[in-house]
Amino acid sequence: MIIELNMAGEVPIYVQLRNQIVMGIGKGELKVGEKLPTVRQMALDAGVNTMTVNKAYQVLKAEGFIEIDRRHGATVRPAEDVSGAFREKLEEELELLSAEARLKGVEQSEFLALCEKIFSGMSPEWETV
Amino acid sequence: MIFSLMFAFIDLFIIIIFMAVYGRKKKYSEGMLLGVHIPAYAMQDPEVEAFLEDHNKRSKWFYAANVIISTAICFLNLFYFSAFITLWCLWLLFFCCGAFFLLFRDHRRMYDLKVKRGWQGASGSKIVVVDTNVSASGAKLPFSVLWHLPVLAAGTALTFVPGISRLMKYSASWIFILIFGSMFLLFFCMHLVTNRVRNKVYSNDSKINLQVNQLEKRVFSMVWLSGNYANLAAYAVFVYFTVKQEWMGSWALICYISIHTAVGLAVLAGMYYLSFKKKEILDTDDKPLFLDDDIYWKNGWYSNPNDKRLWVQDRFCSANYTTNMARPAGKILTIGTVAVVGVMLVWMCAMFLKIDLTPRYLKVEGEKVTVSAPFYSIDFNVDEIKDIELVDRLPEGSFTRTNGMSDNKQMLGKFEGKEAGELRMYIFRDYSPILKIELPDYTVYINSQKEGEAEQWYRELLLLSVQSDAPRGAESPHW
Repeated sequence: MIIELNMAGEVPIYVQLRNQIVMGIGKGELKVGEKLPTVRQMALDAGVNTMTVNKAYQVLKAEGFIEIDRRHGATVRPAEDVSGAFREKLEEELELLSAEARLKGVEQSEFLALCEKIFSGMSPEWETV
Repeated sequence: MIFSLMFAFIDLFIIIIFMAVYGRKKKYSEGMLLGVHIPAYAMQDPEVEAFLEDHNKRSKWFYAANVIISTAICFLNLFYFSAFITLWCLWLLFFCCGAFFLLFRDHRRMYDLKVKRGWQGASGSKIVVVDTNVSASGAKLPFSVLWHLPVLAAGTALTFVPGISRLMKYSASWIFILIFGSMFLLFFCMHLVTNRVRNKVYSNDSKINLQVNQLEKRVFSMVWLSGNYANLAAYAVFVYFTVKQEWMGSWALICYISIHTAVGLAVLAGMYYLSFKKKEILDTDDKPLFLDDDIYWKNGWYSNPNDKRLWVQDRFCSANYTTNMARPAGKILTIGTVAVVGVMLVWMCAMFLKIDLTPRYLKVEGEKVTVSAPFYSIDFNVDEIKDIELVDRLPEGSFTRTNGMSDNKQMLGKFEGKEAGELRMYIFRDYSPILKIELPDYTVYINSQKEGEAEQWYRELLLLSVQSDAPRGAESPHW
């Protein structure tokens, strides 16, 4: 997977990194079970501090997208939302997005079609052993 | 004459290297022309075509003119070495500045043209790209630095071979150990740097990125490893012959030098193979990814405040590394290096000018005799003189220079002869007679380029010696 980071953007680098990895897993560019680069190597290749990469990985782990093992490093392993916390977050964010769309003149059908198109583009893949 | 030819050859070598790296005919490669990213169709643009023709023509003229000028300067050595070395340093300065100016100016013109035409990413990109597949395999790409350990172990063991330590009293033996040690450190450090180099993204296809990065790291790490094993082989040759016959013979020395030369050739061969294979892989890529960071290279050097790296791959020569001038350490390193080299060159020229232009003479004031020279001026009292003599030539035998200078024109400073003992020389070769003054601690030899001057010094000293009843020369002057 190719990750692009905007070093001069307003979004913090660790958030960009987190978002791109999540999108990569969702689109199947990063397969479930695939190993992520080590914190040190990712920091070296991206030209950022190791703390930045470490923070992104910790966020991804806390959100249940990756697993971190002392010996094997970070592995893509999305866990399903059992507590319902994600659905709550999704509802909040969709509410805000819907409000913004309504105010900007986007029709309900157009909004739903866009959601459907983007959602159908997500096809997580599992690494073949 | 040999010296002039040698310098002419060195100059030619410098010019060829510069031309190969910075001045060769520019082609569109990796989405770039003259280090500026432009789309492939821009190569058909009449303005780009004219610009390229103009650049290639000027480069050709610049390098051809420098071959002629530098060769002409080398023959100044036949007259005044100081004038030659000063002009040579100035030529080197103007040549380096000229080569970079030619490249950087046209690079900037190309960048401005790109911005004017609005070609890809002309507004400046702040994007950093990482290929997770390549990064995840990062540690597996190059050969491990641990492969250097057998060389270290074997080299250390060879140093303690019985008989070697006994021969350490010869200073020349230390040189071979020093060469082995420094070469080992150099190759080891270069290997470490290779392993730490950032992986580059060339394509949207991870397989291509993995292939190219693996190729780069494997080739370079293999070159450094081979270099160290060859270094060990050369060291083994030294140890074997030193133990066997107490010193390296001519054949052993040729063998030793050949092994080290082979290392240099291996580095060049590795680089050639790398560029050939890299091009071969990239030519098969149908999804190239060009990261347009031209805005950080617009002046010819790299200056990116968003990049924390200090060393980055050079835009104009991929085997080279350059500093990030947006970082204070980058500025200090670059300006500091240029300043140190500049000061050293100025100091060297000043020294040679001083040697050539400072008059050297003998002066008598009262009872005090002064020998004035560019370096190692001395003074002594007349009553210290044990003997004075005018001789046609220096005594037979070789002299070892302990401090000072000696070339085909002069001998100046402190010398030591096996039979002559400690000496102070103020000699222009091919001029006679030479005034020999014996003092309690050393003997002075001085002559002059002016006819009759040495004889005049002799007469003055002889007269003073007679007046002060000092011992005088056994032989009479020859005129």
